[in-house]
Amino acid sequence: MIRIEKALRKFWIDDEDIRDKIDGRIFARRVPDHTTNPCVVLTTITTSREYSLANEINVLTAVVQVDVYGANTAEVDEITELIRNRTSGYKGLAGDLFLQGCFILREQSEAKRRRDGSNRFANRNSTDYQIFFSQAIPTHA
Amino acid sequence: MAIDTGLGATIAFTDSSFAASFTTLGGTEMTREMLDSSHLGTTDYMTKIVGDLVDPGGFDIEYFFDPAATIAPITAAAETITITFPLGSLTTAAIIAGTGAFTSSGTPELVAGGLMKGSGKIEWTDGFTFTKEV
Repeated sequence: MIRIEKALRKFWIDDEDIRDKIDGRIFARRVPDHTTNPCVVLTTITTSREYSLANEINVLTAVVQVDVYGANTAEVDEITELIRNRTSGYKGLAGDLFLQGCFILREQSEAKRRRDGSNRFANRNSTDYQIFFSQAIPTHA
Repeated sequence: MAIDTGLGATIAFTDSSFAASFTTLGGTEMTREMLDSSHLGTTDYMTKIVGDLVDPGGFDIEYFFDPAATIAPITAAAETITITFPLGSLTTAAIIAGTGAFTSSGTPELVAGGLMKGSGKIEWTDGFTFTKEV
């Protein structure tokens, strides 16, 4: 799990409202087997770096996809909104990272029939966040 | 000969000591006039003669803006400015050196979701020298 994913996981678990809903089930890149809903999966889609003439600068930009899975649309909508409320437009510490700005780029909702042959649906809300955060400047040593 | 990027280039201001995380040191375009010497007897093509003086021009700069630092010093007097090129395959980097001053200084555009950048324009007050890498 790269640093931004770890930082966001801690940031949201530290939030009492979010923690009450997902009980620490925030994962990197995929839903582990035998996980119960609801849960959240973080995937870093891309990062972009800026350079001055001297070196890489101390601000990094990442686009992180945040997928919320739940038993029904009401549940995923509620958790998605809790995360948005905590994160969108936020500037400040998240875990050990300083976030310099969080912006929502895209939001999507879907319900897919589960593969177990049941009539139940897997509900997912997917949100892409663009996040600027601080990093150490490379020393090349 | 080595073709290179601009990474590693620096600029130094002797008196104002202005410093920043520069992202662009623009190129200088020197110009001189061509004087029209055509007359009523000229046929086919205009004729021209080269002007006597060269305008040393100037160049634009851009840098990551640090709110705790200073902006490009538009009120500073003309000073010695030295641009050092990235060192290529030899031992001493190429430089441009001359006397110049800021003729514009831009504060950053403030945009949510965008990094702050300052800008400026420097004009040479006289000709500058270019010393190639050796």
